[in-house]
Amino acid sequence: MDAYLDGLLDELVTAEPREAWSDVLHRARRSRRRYMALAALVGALVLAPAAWAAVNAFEGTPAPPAISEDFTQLNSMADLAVQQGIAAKWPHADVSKAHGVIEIQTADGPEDVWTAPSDEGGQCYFIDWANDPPEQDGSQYGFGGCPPAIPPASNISWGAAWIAGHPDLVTVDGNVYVDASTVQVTLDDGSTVTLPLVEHVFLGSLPKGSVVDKVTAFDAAGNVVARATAAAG
Amino acid sequence: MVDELEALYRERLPEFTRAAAAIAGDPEAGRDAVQDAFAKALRKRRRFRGEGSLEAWVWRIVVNAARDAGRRRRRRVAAPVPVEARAQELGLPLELLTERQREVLFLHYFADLDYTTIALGLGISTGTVGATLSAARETLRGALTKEAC
Repeated sequence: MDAYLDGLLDELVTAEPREAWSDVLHRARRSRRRYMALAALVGALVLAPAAWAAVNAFEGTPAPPAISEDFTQLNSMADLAVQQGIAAKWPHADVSKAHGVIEIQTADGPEDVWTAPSDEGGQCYFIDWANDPPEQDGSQYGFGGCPPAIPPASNISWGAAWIAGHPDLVTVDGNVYVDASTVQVTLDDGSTVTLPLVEHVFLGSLPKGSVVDKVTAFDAAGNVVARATAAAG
Repeated sequence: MVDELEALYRERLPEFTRAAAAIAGDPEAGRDAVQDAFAKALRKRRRFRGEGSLEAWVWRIVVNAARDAGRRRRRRVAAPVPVEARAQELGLPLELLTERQREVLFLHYFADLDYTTIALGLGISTGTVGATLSAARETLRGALTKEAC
């Protein structure tokens, strides 16, 4: 049995290494530079109230066909997950109610988060860049999912994602499950970035390599109402 | 110190890559985690105090980077990650193992690390490594035997 188990493990992962020490050196240097870029981003958010107005103007925009197709594909993946026995059930999005929530400006153009209510009481979401061309299947390039409707202990669910199509950016997004006015992310170097929070959803764009240590939600009076660390998710 | 890190990278990259891919659940994410981890080790090298080996210290950074990459990947995609999908194809019930059991198993099997290095890499005791590894193998053995019957 041990030999059989070893054989299975041997076939489990085939990850050929690609030696690139120069890339390691590049990443180490770039990480230092990113802090300056981050400071500029913080300044832009603080000093440009117009940006916040633009965020609010986007809320409620009906989802275009390409975004509706993304939610439809999420539902297809949910069906597949159930069929394959990965889960007994999986949330589905009500595509007819998909709408825009937040639009932010990034180095790669406007980045949007769209949501649609899920049949489990939560919200499904999809994030894309408005200037990307539609895919051949009529969908829009991006990423999304349907987080559980049940709040985590921290009352914040969040993630920081990097995707191949926008290699210089890290998207930080998530949900706050209690009433709050703003969200602040704290990076591993101690710096902070304030993000827009609309319909309990927040969205931000950071330079690639940024590492989020903590997400904190504040009410209008500036009191902390929820906090999640990287370890707790 | 930079030379030592580079030497470790060049000597052990296949093991770092395979173990990180297993922990992240995705070969590409594993490779990226290794690159990021060594970049971080370079930046933070002055924090290495010589308590334990340099390799164990780097393993700790690699494991953390791979964990983060895996969690991001799983949050974003409503489908099994490649390693979990492959485990299903092989009939290997990885889902029965805890995260720690998986990590110990992967570091032992894919990186051929001794118990001390695994312990330092994961921040647990050497005894816990042995017990966790035994429990992981026993769980998998039991499930595979049951399936075969």
